[in-house]
Amino acid sequence: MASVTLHDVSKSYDAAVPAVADLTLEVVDGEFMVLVGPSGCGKSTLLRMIAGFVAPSEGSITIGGRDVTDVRPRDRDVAMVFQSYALYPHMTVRQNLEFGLKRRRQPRAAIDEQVSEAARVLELEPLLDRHPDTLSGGQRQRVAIGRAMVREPAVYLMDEPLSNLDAKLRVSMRSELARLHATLGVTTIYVTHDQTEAMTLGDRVCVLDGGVLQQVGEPRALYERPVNRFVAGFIGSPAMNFVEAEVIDDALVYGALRIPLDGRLRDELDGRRSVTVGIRPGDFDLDGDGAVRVTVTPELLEYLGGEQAVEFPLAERGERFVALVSPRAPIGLGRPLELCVASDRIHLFDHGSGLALRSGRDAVRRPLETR
Amino acid sequence: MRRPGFHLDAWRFTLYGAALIVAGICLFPYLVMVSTALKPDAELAGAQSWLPTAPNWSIFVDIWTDETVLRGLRNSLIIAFGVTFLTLACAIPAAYALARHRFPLRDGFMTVVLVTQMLSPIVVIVPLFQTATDLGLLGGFPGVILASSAFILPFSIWLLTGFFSAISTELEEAATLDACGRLATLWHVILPLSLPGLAATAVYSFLFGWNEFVISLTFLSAVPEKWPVTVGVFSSIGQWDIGWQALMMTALISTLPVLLLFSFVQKYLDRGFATLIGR
Amino acid sequence: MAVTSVTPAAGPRGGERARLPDGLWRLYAYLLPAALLLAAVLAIPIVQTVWLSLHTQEGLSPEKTWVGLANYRDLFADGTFWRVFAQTVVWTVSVVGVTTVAGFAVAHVLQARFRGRWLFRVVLMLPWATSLALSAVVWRFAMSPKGLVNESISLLGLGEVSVAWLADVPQAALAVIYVGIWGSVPFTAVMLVAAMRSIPDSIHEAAELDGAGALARAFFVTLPMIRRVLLVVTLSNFVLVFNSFPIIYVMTGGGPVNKTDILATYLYRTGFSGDFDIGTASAIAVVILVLLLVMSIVYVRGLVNRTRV
Repeated sequence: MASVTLHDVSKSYDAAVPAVADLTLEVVDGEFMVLVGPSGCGKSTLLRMIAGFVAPSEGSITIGGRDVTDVRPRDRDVAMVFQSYALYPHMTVRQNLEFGLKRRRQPRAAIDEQVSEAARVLELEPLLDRHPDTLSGGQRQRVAIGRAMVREPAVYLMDEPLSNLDAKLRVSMRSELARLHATLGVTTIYVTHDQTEAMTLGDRVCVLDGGVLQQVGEPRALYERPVNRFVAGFIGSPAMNFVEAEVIDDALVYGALRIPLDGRLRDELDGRRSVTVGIRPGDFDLDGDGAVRVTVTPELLEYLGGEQAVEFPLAERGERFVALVSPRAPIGLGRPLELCVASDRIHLFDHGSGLALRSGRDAVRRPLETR
Repeated sequence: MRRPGFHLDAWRFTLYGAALIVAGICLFPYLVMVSTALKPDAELAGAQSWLPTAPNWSIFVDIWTDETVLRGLRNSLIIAFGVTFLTLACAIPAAYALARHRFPLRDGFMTVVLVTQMLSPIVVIVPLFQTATDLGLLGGFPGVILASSAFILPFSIWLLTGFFSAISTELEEAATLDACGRLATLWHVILPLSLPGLAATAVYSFLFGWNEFVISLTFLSAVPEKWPVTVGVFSSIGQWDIGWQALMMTALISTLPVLLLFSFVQKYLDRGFATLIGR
Repeated sequence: MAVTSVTPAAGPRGGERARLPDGLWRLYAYLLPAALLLAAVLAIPIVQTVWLSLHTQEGLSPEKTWVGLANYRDLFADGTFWRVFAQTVVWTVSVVGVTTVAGFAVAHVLQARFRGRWLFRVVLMLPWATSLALSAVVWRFAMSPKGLVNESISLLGLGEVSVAWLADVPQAALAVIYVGIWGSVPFTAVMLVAAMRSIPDSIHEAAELDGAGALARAFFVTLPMIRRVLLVVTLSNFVLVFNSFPIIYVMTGGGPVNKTDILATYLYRTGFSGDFDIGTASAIAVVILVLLLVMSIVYVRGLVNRTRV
């Protein structure tokens, strides 16, 4: 077990566009850290740098306090679960599990013990003599995890390991991964583009965009206090609604939306005349006592079972807003509807930089760790 | 293509007709081989007919006691296996480096590989002959094998590079984490997964060695006891005076291993062709 | 041959240069055996060929005399050379042309499902699998005046013939061209079938719904969709046939009196028979190399351009 530190790491494949830019991140011992972001954000490059497949252009990487920047992948004491599983197709499950240990010349008895332990934990015993191509997706996934487990590495690296599974299996494998991590307690770095996966699995989540670290923090912190518009929009589903509002008569106004300025909002505005307002669909209420009230006309209703999504415009030809409300709410297409939002659920972002506005001591001007 | 009623019959008719004609054209020389091999000398003298009046079936047995023929077949085998071995030994590492790594001169090497496929032995046979003479490689198998391999090597590298590139990088990365160096990765992961490609490459180089003509003709002309079948049959009038029947039989026999190999690896060859054209 | 400098790079472009913990030299070690073999048997001899073409050599003696471009001057002043040159063009164009058309047709037969298809496939591959040197001997034998070719023509009801197929032109030229086509159709057809298999069934079904018959589909669906492979196969046939040696050398030996010679056989007989004129043979080889260079530029250009469509 070990901590992993990335210190001012950069990687550029071609000079113009860095894949990862000047990134510093510490993953503490035993932590489940999720790297998340849209495709091309540099998360996979980052993981491959930790594994040693990609050499950083600048910066250093330490694992368990040891500088491994120039250490070969095999000597870094890391194990990886690949997106495609990367099981050796010509070997049986048992041979797949054994291969790394054999290459490391472990004694036969130790290998057998490791393999049977992993097979027991992952319920692979009946599959040991089969070849990967005869296994289902979920079974292959477990073999891939098993191959990492038998090595007893200091760090697990997982590259979108669930993305090839169907939706249902993904959910069950997700909880299995969480359970495994709880049992083994090994430092894990997990890459995904799926924010739900990130939120449910991560002790902490690191959001990347365009090779730049946006925010690192516990899932709740990312959701509640996103540092910028990107993180706010990326985390949470359906995504946060954004509009450009202007200050008119002591209120932020966009179309029908009118947000009275209270103390906090005024502090955060800090004299700006226009600002980006963000409201999460789930923060709308049908009959709460929130300070912000708006009457809208639904244009689209989506019944989701546990809730229903209402889409409505706030201004003519404006973008549609989405609100999640109770599935039993008596609403209909074209029937005016009053929604309210608590004032403290309003997020403000700087119009130009997209940074979240924070008041007073809380002010944030650059991406920062929030715990 | 499933079509109803009369249409189907007309379609089938055309199809079988075409297939029969093409097959007839392809088979012609082989029918000549069989027909001629079975004829007694007298029937070869005058105007020939397809069916021998008194077929000499014993040729099928006798041919296997003809030392000249057996020696020729053995020589062909030595050359073909030599070419196969040398080609694979050179092509596998080269293709691996080309498929898996980026390095200076890589693209240049790939271009050389692509362009040298156009060279046939005939254009460099004169200096090759002189160099072989200087190095004392004339009149022996090593010279023939070395020279022949070079002409099938570019194609083999190209084919194998395609197969190696098709293997997922993640598998190789997994092998790296499992403590495999380049050589171990090649041995434990790349080669077992490229069996179709290796089979196709081996068959191609074997065929090339088995059928090679110009280099053997030039390098071995002074030593008839080392002639492969191709040179022997060609020179039959002189040194290989074994009669037309035995000659035809030899040609037929030397087609056999090729045919066997071909049906054995047909599946792999198909994938080889698919790789070839998929690029 | 300075091929590398004039041809565009064909391999995938390398983006990243990975850190090489084992060192670059070890990577080059992987290429070394292949590079050595190619250099020894292809590269160095090409240079030697050029050098030899500027010298004259008495028979088999190692004495070489510098003569500059005299070999080329003599060659280009020689009517036989130009006749052989023209014959080479006729040979290459007619064999490749017919092979392409016939290959496309045979590919359709090969692709159809019918009973005994596997047998047809094996039979079709025979000409490709047999050494051309061997089949040429058999063809030569069958084409003698009393041979089985004439017998077959009679059997087909085309009249009693006793043509000495290889004794004079034009029939000798026709004969070798026929055998050339016979030898190159199979591989062409198999390659084209592989390409045709990669066309999704749904496209043919769509065309069928649009009212296209089998012939229309062959020309307006299949042909455009396999044109890249068709181009590659045709270009490589061009080079193969141009370089082809055994068929003509074995069947006619270039005769009668050079009338069926092509550059390849003319080169060989100049250098390895008669007065072993190494200088002139090398000059012919250089001419072939230049032509090949031109073809390879066309080939690589065609290949690279078409693959990037």
